[in-house]
Amino acid sequence: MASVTLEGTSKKFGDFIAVRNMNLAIKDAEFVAILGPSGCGKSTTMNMIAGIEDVSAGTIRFDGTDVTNVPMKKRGVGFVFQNYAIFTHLSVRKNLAFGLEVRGEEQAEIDRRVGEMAEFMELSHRIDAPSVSLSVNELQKLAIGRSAIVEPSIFLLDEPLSNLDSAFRERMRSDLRQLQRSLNQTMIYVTHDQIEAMGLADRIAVMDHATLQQFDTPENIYSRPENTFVAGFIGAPSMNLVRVRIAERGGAMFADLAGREADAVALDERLARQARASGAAALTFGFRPEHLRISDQPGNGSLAAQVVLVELVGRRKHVHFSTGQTGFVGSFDRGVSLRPGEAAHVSIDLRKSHLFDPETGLRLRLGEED
Amino acid sequence: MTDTTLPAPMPVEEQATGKLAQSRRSLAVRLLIPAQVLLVFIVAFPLIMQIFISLTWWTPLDGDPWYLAWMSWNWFDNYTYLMQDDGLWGSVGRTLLFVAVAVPIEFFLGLTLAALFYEGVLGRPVLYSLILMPMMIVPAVAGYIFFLIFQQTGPLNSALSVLWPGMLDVNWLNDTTRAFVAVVIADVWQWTPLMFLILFAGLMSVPEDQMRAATILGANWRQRFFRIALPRIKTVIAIAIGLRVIECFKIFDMLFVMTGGGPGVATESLSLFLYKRTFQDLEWSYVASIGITVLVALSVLTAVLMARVKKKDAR
Amino acid sequence: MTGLILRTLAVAFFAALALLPISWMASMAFKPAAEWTSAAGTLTFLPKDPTLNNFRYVFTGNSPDQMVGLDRTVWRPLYASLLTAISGTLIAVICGTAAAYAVSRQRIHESIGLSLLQLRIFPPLAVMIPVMIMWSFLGMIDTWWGLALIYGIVTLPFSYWLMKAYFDELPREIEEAAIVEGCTPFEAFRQITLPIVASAVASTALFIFILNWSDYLIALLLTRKEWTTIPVYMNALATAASGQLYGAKAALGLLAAVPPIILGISIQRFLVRGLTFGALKQ
Repeated sequence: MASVTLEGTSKKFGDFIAVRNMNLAIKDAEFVAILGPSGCGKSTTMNMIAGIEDVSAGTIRFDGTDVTNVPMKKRGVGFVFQNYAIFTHLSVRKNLAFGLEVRGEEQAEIDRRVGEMAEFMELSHRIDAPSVSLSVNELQKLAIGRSAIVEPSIFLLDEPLSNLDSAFRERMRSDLRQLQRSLNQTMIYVTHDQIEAMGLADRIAVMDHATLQQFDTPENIYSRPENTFVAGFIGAPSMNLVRVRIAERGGAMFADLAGREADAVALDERLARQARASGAAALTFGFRPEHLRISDQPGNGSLAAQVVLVELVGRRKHVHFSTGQTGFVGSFDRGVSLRPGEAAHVSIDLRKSHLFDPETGLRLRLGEED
Repeated sequence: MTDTTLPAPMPVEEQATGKLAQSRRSLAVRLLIPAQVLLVFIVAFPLIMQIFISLTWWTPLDGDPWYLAWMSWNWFDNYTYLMQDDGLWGSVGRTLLFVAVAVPIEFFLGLTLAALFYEGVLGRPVLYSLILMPMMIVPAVAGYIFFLIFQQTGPLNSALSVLWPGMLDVNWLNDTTRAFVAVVIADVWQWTPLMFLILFAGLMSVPEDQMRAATILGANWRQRFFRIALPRIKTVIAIAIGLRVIECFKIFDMLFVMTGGGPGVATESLSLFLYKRTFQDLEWSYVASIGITVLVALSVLTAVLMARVKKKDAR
Repeated sequence: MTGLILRTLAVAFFAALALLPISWMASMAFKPAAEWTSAAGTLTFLPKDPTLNNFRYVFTGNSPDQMVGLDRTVWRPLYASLLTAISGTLIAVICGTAAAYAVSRQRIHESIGLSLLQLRIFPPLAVMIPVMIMWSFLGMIDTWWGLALIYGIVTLPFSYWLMKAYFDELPREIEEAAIVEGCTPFEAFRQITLPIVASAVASTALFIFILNWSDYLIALLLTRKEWTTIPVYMNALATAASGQLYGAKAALGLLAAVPPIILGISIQRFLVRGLTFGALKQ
């Protein structure tokens, strides 16, 4: 039972800033994913929470108590390493028992809890096997079981599923979720895989360039990205971010994608108010590939574009369009019939689209709730 | 031999690679020649000669060339004599005692140093180089250094007399027990660095994440050291101890310079015993028979050890 | 933090123990005869009256401190030490590298490795009788090449195993590519493989030079006068009228000790590998 709070936490390695002024309030029993490209500082953040790295500036609190200077041995967190760090010279049983043995638990108690954990992790049949003989999938379960057995109130996982084959990864994901619920722990999970983060986490902390970009629910991360980085990082294919000229004609606001006035998209009321409020002549227009529709004929705010490339991805068809001046991608049901070279009329679902400030990358919004 | 199928003619390409493989092989054979010549020169031929000489009374005092040694053929007289030679067995016993005392001390000191370095010290590169220095000293020179130190009029007695007045006259190298202690100290001084060097390299090879995982699970440094680090470097420990046992068993240079085996035979190792029989008594055929006995004993010992290691590996 | 300081102090204590004996000899080398023992007064750690006479004595044979001159100076043993250690090293490195490459690539005669290792296990004195007989039969006693040849043989196990470990790590594809380009196997070995392992060969050679330079026993057995090396010369330095030549011997000891220390520190990272025949890496 513990909340985790980072207040202005930073980490420097010499001149290199690995984590910059991180503020993060993780609630008790929450499942949080820290998501970002490699080198963004997500592992360093996790290592600071575990106490593996000390903190250059700022504070870390567990349940309100300052643990910034508490050594890792005494923080009482569970940590699953990316390479699992299984004690390969010991048997499965001895690995599971390690945390209890060093704490000086009674032998009977150790046996009971090791048995239970082996049962839960489906390792009972391998319990006396040397741990080197385990498969990657079993090693993964052993690593989680070994940390979970001491019942840490905070559980940290560093890309724990990245070495697994995809079928087993699906299973492990649901097992992890179940484990977290049954132990009622705060779980923090570092990953570069957005599908994992979206599927598992209560909230996602997206990081880039040592900085926290957005901390929100998967739904909000997807539909209301804070800035162009989050918008571009989440979703596959990622959100189209197109530089547009803003023009006002006859009281209506238009976003000009193609450089042809005739094809300019008329903004709906929400976007028009945002554009007007910003007063900028050029903005970044963001719309997701899955929020495009193909129209049969021109007009109705649709956009004339040429099909450049069509990719089949699972049950979807990813279509690359060009307007001559700029390009974007659409994602459609595979039933749609488009061929490279064809002209098409594309309309954008404006209710789900966003405008971003091209300088700061921030999403334009009208007040806090927007 | 029921298979009567004729081999199919080789395709042209394979003929070419066959030729290439052949020329590679012949290169390898030629590259091996120098080492093999040296081995035959120093192992095979001398071994036969040594067995031959050991079955005679031959000594360079006779003035006969060695190939006429058969004239004093005595079958196994040398071997039966060495069985009852107290001087020989005394030196073997002292050598083994020396190994049994010096190597464990070197191991524990080396391990302590390695653990201290592993946990982290200030100015590590400098201290590391300083610690390694004794093992780079020429062993004969190290023997001379400790000869100087243990002199009755030397620095050790001077230093001790400051602490305990009246200690000035301790006779280190002329007392049987103290001389033995002195040579053990000299050997420990010179070779603890080697233990440290190898054990420290072993500790550094233990994956950092394993140690972190143990820490996060609540292990203190003692538990980490004894439950994770030490078991993981078992092979390294075996190599370090094995190397030292072998070298310690052969010890000559340092003892020869420091004590010459004295007082009496108090520090006479097997090597020193053989040296004295070779050059003071010129009993070359006798030394040859001891040499053959040592060869056989060590070969059997290493073969047994190797077999055990292989069996363990197989399991 | 206190732990770090305590550990540093403990290690510094050991380092002082390691250094004290060496510095005692170094200081002795600069002391005049009157300060050699406590017989003439209190011993001091540093020379009260530092002098270069000990070095002058061993290099020129005369010193104001000594009534009796030396009939042989250190120049000849210094030359002998260098010549035999260097040529022994060359023999070991050339033969060992060639054999290691052959075994590593063609996997023939692999047993040569174990035979070589056995060579290191036996006490040299147990196997030296026939060697001494052979050497005197062939007129190789007290020659530089007779000693160099033995040095080459006893250090061959190191060069073989060290180089074999390097060749085993090197992918064969590099040579195969060269052979496909039209090189003969020997050209591929000489022009492709050898340059890649050049620094490994250099470290191995330095390591083996230290071993050969440090030898005492073999030089004692196989040389008489002309080609005695520094350690043998040092220990045999006759007692002069004034008693033991402590200072002169210390000067010789220092002379013998300095090259291995400098070389040893310069190949520090290689030492673990060297001492364990390539079994462990640092």
